[in-house]
This record gives sequence, C-alpha cells and structure tokens, in this order.
Amino acid sequence: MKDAPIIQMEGIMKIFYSDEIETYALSDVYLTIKEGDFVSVAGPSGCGKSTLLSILGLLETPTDGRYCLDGLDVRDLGRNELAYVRNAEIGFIFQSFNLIGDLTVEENVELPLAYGGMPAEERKKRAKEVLERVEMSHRRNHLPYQLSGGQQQRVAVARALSTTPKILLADEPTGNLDSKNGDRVMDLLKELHGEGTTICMVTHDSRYNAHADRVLSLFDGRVVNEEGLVEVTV
Amino acid sequence: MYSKTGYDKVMSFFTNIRFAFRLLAKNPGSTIMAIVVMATGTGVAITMFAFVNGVLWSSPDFAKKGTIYNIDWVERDKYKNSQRVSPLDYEIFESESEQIDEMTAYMGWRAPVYNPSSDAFAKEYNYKRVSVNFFEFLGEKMHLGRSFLPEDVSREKDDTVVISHALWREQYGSNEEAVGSTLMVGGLPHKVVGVARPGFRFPDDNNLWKASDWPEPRMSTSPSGTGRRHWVKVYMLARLKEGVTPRQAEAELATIAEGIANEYPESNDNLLRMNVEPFTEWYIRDEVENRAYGLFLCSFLVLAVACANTFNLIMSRTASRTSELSIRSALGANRAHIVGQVVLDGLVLTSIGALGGVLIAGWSLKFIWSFFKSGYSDAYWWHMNLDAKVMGFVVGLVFVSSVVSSLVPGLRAARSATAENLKDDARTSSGLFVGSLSRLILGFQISASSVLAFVSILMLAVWYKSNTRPWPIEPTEILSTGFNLAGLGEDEHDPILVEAPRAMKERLEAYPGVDSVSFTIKAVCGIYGGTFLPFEMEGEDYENSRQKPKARVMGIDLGYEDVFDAKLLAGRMFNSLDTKETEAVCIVSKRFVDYYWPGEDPIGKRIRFNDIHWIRDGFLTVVGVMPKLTRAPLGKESSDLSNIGDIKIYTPLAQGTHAELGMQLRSKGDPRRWIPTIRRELAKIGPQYTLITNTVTVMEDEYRFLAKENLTLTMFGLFGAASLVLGAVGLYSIMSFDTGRRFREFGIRMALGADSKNVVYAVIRNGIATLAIGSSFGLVLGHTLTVLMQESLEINVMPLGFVYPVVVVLLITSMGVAMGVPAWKASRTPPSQALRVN
Ligand SMILES: Nc1ncnc2c1ncn2[C@@H]1O[C@H](COP(=O)(O)OP(=O)(O)O)[C@@H](O)[C@H]1O
Ligand SMILES: [Mg+2]
Repeated sequence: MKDAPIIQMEGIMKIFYSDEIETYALSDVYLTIKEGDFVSVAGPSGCGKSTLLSILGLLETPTDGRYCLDGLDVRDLGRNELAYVRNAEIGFIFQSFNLIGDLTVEENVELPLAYGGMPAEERKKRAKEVLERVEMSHRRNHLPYQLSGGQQQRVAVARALSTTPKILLADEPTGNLDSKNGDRVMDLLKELHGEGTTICMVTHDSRYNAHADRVLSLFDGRVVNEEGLVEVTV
Repeated sequence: MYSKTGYDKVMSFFTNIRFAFRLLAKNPGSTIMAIVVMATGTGVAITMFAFVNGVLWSSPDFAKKGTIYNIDWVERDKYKNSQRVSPLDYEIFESESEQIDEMTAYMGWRAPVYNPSSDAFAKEYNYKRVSVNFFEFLGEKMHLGRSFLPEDVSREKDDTVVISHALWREQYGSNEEAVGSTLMVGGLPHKVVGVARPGFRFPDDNNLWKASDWPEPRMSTSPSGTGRRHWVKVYMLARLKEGVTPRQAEAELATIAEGIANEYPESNDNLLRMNVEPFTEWYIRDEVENRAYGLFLCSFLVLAVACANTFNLIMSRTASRTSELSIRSALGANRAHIVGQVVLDGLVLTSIGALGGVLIAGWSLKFIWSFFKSGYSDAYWWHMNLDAKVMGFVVGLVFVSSVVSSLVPGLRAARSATAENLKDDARTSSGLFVGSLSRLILGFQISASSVLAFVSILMLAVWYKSNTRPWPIEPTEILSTGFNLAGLGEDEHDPILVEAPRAMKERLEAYPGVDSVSFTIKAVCGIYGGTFLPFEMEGEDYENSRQKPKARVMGIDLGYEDVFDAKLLAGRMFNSLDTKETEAVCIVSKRFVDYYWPGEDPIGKRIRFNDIHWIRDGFLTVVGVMPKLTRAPLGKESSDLSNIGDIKIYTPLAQGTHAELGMQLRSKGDPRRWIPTIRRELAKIGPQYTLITNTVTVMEDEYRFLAKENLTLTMFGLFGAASLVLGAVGLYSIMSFDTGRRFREFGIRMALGADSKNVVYAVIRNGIATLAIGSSFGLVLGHTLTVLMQESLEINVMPLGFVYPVVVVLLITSMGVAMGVPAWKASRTPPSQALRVN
C-alpha cells in the first residue's frame, strides 16, 4: 500500500520544563510522511530535530497535538504498548551508536528480536543475516569497545534492521564518523530505502540531503521550509 | 621542581578538604546514605565498646594496689553450688595457706536502716558483714572516724558499723556528729564508727559495713542448729604472695579444702575444686555471663556491615569521579594525589558519620544503662560513659574504617585514572568499578544481614513468647513487698511475730479498696522463690542428707488463697486453728505430688525437716494440695530438680515464723497507691521498720526478673534491625549506582522495544544472584549460630521452625524494595531522557 501516510502529525508541540524555564522545542508542527519516503530533517543545533525524531519514534510524548503512526493514535497507548510498537515498527540509529557496552555485537543485534519474543535459534539466524549484510559478521563476538566508530555504527544499523521495521529513524548517523565511514552508512540507508523502508534522518551534512526525497528545515521548533521531489501535505 | 613550604602544604590540604566538602554537597544522596550508614555502624560499635569498657573491663580502684582474687568453693551439684565458704572453713584457709598473703571475707544482704535522731523514714540499704581487716585489706582510709578494730567484735561492746558517704549524706545530712551516734540497722542499735570515702561502695553497691568475728558471728536471727551447715557462708577475698599464680593457689587451697571435706563429710561432701579468679572477672562472670560476648560479636558484625557499605558507597562515588580524577592525572597528579583525594573524601564522610554515631551511642547507652540497672545488681564501679578511652576508640575506629573502605577504591582510581578516560569516544559504560570486589562485599553484607536478621528474629520470637505466657493470677493487682521485724519480741518464737503482722493485715483490709493481705516467708513476691531444702518422708530411711528428697519451701499465712485466687486441688487451706498448740501441718504443690507421689493420695502423708528454725520440728502432716500459681515455663516443664520452682512445700506462719516477712496486698486497680498506707501501718509496729526497696507489683517484679533477658533480646533485636537496614541500604546504593551508570543502556533498551518488565529485569539481574547466594549463606550460618546459642539461652525447648519463613520473607521484602525501587525508577524514565544522558 505505497503512498498511504504512515506518519501523520497535527499541531505537535513539545515544551520542556526545567528550573521554571519553558523550552519550546517544537511548536505547531504538521507533518505527513508516506510509506517509503526518505525524509531528511535539517536545521541549526538546538532547533528541535532530535526532539522531533524522539516523538516520531515514540521515545517522547508530545505536549500537545495529534500523532498517528500507521493509523494508530499514539496518545491512547500505554507505556508497554508504546514499547511494543517501537519494537515492531521502528528502528533507531543514533549519532553515538548506542551499542550496549556489556553485550557482544551479536547480542546487541539480537536484543530487539528478544524483546519481540523471537525464539533464540531464529534470533541467531536473523542476527547473522543482518550482520552479514553490514559486513560485520566476522566481528560478531566482539564487544563494542573493540570496534572502530564506523564498525560500531554498522552494527547499530544491523540492530535497527533486525526486526525489519517499517520506519527507520536516524539521528545524525554520520555525525561521529569520518566521511569514508559516513558514506558507507549512507549507502546502506539508501539501499534500505530502495527496498521500501520509510526513513527519517537528521543530518548536518548537506551532501547527504541529496539522498532524501524531501528535506524538512526546522528553525526554532518550527518547520520553516520544505523542498523536495514529492508534494507536501500540510 | 619546586620544593613545597609548610605553608603551601597546609594550604593545599585545606584546598583539598574544601574540595572534599564540595563533593559531599554535589552528591547529596550518596553523602546522606554514607553518613547514615557510618553513623549506625559506629553508633552500635561505640555502644558496645562503652559497655565493654565500662562494665566488662572496669574494676574498682583501691588505695592499695595489686590484684584482689575471689575464692570459690565449687561444688559438684550445680544447684548446691553456693560458691561461698563456711566461716568456719575461712579460718582454716587463712591459717593454713602458704601462698595467700592476706585474706578477708564478707557476706551480706539488705537491711532496714533508721536514724533515731532524725525524723526521716527508715530506709533499706545494702549491708555487709565484713572481717575486721576488710578496709585494711583494701587499703581504704576513712573519710571520717575510723575503720574497724579487733575490739569491735567483742561481745561486751556495741555492734559497730561503717557507713558509706552516700548514706551519711542521706541519713545525717553530712553532719560530722554521725560518728559515735547510734543507728538502727535491721532493728538493732549499732554504733557508727566511720564514714567511708566518697564513691567507695565495695564489694558491689554497698552502704553499710559491720565488723564480724568469723568464725563466731553474732547473728540476730541465730540458727537453732549448731552444725557447720547452719552458718551463713561467706565470700572470701585474697591477695596472693608475690610470684604466686592463681593456679598454684588453687592447687594449694584444693588440698586444704579436701582436708576440710574429709574431716566434715556431712557438710562438705559435695566439694569439686577451688576456684581462684580476679575479683572483677569473677563478678562479671557471675552477673553478665557469656551473652555479653555474643552481643559484642554481633556488634562487630554490624560494624563490618557498615564498613562494607561505606566501602561500596565510596567505590561508587569514586567511579562517578572517574573523569575528574583523570583530568587531575592528565594535569600531573601522581598516584598518591589521586589516592589521597579519594581517602580524604572517605575520611570527611566517615568523620561526619562518626559524629552521628556518637549521638546515636549517647542515646542508646542511656537506654541500655537504664535497662541494665534494673536487671543486674550494679557494681559501683560500672558505668557506660563516653569517656576518653571510648572517644579514643571512636577516633581510631573512624580512621581505620574510612582508610580501609576508601583505600581500595582510591588505588583502583589511581590505576585507571589515565588520559584514556578523557578520550570521550562515546563508548558506553566501562563497568570498571562496580566489579567483582563490590559484588563480593555486597554478598558478605547480605550474608551478615541475614545472620543478624535470623538471630534477632529468633530472639524477638523468644521474647514475645516469654512475655505473653498466661498468668494464673492477677499480677497487676498484687503488690509484693516485705519487711524485717528483727528485734521485735523476745526471740523468734515470740507470738508477737505472728500477732503484729496479723493485726496489720486486719487494719489494712479495713481500708475500702484493699481486697486482701497475706504474709510469706522466703518468698517476697508470694509465688516464686522458697528455700531449696532437703526433707524426709515418713517411713523412709536415709543414709545421708544427699539421699534426701528436696523441695522449695516457703511459709504462708491466712489470706494467701484470697490474694492469689488459690483454689486447693485437694484437702484444705491453713486456717486460724493451725497454731503452735495444734497438729503440725503443711501443704504441697500439685507438681510436688506429681513428682514424689504420682498416683497417690498425698493428704495425711507426713514429712519432716531437720533443724530449720522457722519450721516446726517433727513431722508435718500434709493437709492440702496447692495448684500451680506461677506462669508456664517457656518450653516444656524442666525435669531437672534444681530448676523446678514449682515443687513446693508450704508451711503455716503460725507454726513457725521468721523476722523477715514478705507481704502481698491485693486491691482493685493499681495496688501501688497503698504503699504510703502500708508504710504508716508498719510504722505502728515500730518506727525502725521499713518496707524493702523492691516494693512492686508482681507484674513489675516479673519484668525486673526478665530484664536481663529483655535487655539481651532487645539488643539483639536492635542489631538485627540495624543490620537489615544497612544491608538493604547497601543493596539499594549499589543497585541505584548501577542503575545510574547504566541509565543510557536502559534508554537504548527501551528504544529497541524493551517494556517495563524487561527493564526491571535488566536492572535486578545483576543483583539477584548476589542476593540469593548471600542470603542462603547467611541463613545457613544463622541456623548454625542459633543451634550453638540455644544451649546458653535455654530456648531449645521452643519450636522455632517458623523463624525460617519469616526471615526469608523479611529478607525478600527488604532486599526486594532495595532492588526494586531503582529498577522501578529506571523503568519509569522516559527513554529519550535516558538516551540524552552521556
Ligand atoms: N529533556 C530536555 N529538557 C529540557 N530541554 C530540552 C530537553 N531536551 C531538549 N531540550 C531543548 O529543546 C531544544 C531542542 O533540542 P534538540 O531537539 O535536542 O535539538 P537538536 O537535536 O535540533 O539539536 C533545545 O533547546 C534543547 O535545549
Ligand atoms: Mg540533536
């Protein structure tokens, strides 16, 4: 069902309250992403990119507004239902890799599968598959600190892929990598997009914006500009 | 390189201290936790040390130096072991021993004291008969007057006494004319010859000393019998000749004692050996017994748990300082600097904790001391003060424990504080600190807490059981007191000794509200006590006194059945027709019948005592069977004769009485309100007579009787609670440190789809194995300890299986909370927040 909106945000607002200071991280954001889209989010530091991605990924709940994911209004979901949706539908890639230091490469990749309730044997098989895909299967018994940054990020991509999520959220996935490793990760994302995965990526590097179907510019918590190949629905 | 001046060193020390304080403020949670933990640990340790220092290790000071030994005559039968020596034998020991330098002796009880020249009430004081050389032996000089001279024991002169400084103050208002005045002691006039120096109360908490001419004491209630065993036995004290060891003295005294035993087999056939022991140790052993050492052990366990806690807390504090310490090392700090930083942090923490510990100890010592004083006859040299020795101990303790508990983390920090840590390459947790060592220590902590929890719950169970046993009487409505009518009438057979109390009973019962009054001999509270005496049954032949049956014997008078609701199981109670002129009678207890005459009808049987001055000579006919009036024992009925208080023979006062009487008064409501009335009525018999100090309800009497047990049990309970709290705090702090460290990990897990259950499991997974191993180890150890303790605490008769599940549940709850709270917190955190933490 290509072209159906998988993400629909209406009037999303996020306010952080700390020490009596209110930070408007997002104000009045309207956003629709169709299945199979590759959206790039750009903007200066602190403009709310990560916050937007957190809300998209159900890591954060909006202060106000409506967010439907795959036709499901997330406001109605409880803590554990959110966890279930995250596990089944969403894959995360972070700037700082976020592998679990005490788990091996393979265990890291298996973790979301385990949370999804996949039997151990299948998990192993699946982990092997995705690690092969990112060319990391030879390192599957290593601990994260034994890997270079680029390798760690590829493992993180494999982990995000393992559950075959509908949506991949990447927050500056190349931010900590040199250009060669960054390109490699971007190539992987492009490949996944080609296979039909919806991708929403934050990036500083304008070169990588070119990979995207749409580029969303944020400034001070608002969407200020959208350019892209596909019509924007507001 | 610059060489540092002293000023620089001092300044840098203060800079470091300032920094240490800033750190405390920065981590208020772990700071408060560490302080509470250290305060509890040091509090318990100081309390116990103050007790050991002020009681177990303390001894009275005398002008004359050198160890004073107590000499015990140890007998084979436990129950007969008076540990004292017949005054007749004292002289033999004194003249025959080569190894003893000097000897003295004393014996004593309490006596009513009345100063006829004042208008104060008579009052009861501790009172000792002592050898003439008593004060000389101790090297004591009098505050006023003189100590004893040989003429003080001559029959032609007045009886003489030395009074304590405190008695002098109370009875004479510190008037110097006290010396030479006459004081009524036990109803008889005595001349005061001296006032002891302030504070001197030897050998326990004594106030009156009377010279006695062993082996011929002039006793006011002299026994009618003349055999050796009729003498009240004495305590012997000795100084050994130079170079003589207590063992050598023991051997020599044993030879002398054997000679005595051979010469007088009838009274000395039970001799086992002689025991020579420093007086203070002997006194302690007699009074405090081994339980104090058990408590001492437990307190050190608590301290160890506290140290382990501090260790872990400092460990995690240090872990959270990794990057700060790394920056320091990058800036050129050497190993010693880094270690110093960590140790300083620990030292500041533990010092503050110790301050709190001193406060805790101050309160708990007050509490324990009040408990202790009501349970033990207090020696005047005992105290529980926080004196210089104890304070020194505290300082040492704090120093050692803080250095011990921060040195290891410090060394580890120094080893790992390399520039490596500064390269923030965003690799997640290193897990450098909370490693196997912390886990091992945590395991120890949990085991120790389990042991203590186990022991303390056991103690509380025993305590509860013993305090909730049912009463066959009304213990709160009965007042028990007593008085000594010495000097009343011609001799102890004078009928006035029965008539005066009975008249008093009549006067008291005329007051509306007073239900009934009764009098007893050898049993102040009316139900416990009695003298353990051999007797003969009619028709039996006994080769010697050892073959004779024994029972506890007490005298009772009319009204006993009203006060104690005693409904005889057979026969009749004594009545006004039982007099000197009528048939000699007695009543036996139900237990007596069960023990000596099972299945037989006791009524009409006859028994006889030999030479007991307050019991009529010749056969006594059993006329009644008394029900059990005492509380049920903690366990099953003891079968050891010596421990059985309930195998009793009751004799009627009217057929043989005693100057020392117990008195019981029963009234509706609190019977203590009648004390002034009783005093007034007693004064009508004579102004020199007074109630014994221990005038309390039967219930209070029981509490005092149980005070020792209650003290022990309370302390075990406190230690158990303290250690359980410490164990839980330890687990909590480790868990929350671990959770804090792994905060980001939980964020990642949640992003990957972990639900609350998964997160909680991820948190406690590490702790559970430690908890399981630690607590099962602790339970096994606790069980072993209990088995060992059962013997000494006489709880082997109680079924205690229920303690195990209780301990397990308690452990699981407290440790579960300690682990669960951080886990729950972690699972509640919004994942984005957890991910933002770097
Ligand atoms: N948990 C938080 N508490 C308070 N303020 C926050 C929190 N998270 C983000 N912010 C603020 O919200 C704004 C947007 O942050 P973020 O989305 O991380 O920006 P970006 O990813 O675009 O750099 C910033 O001003 C940031 O300081
Ligand atoms: Mg960001």
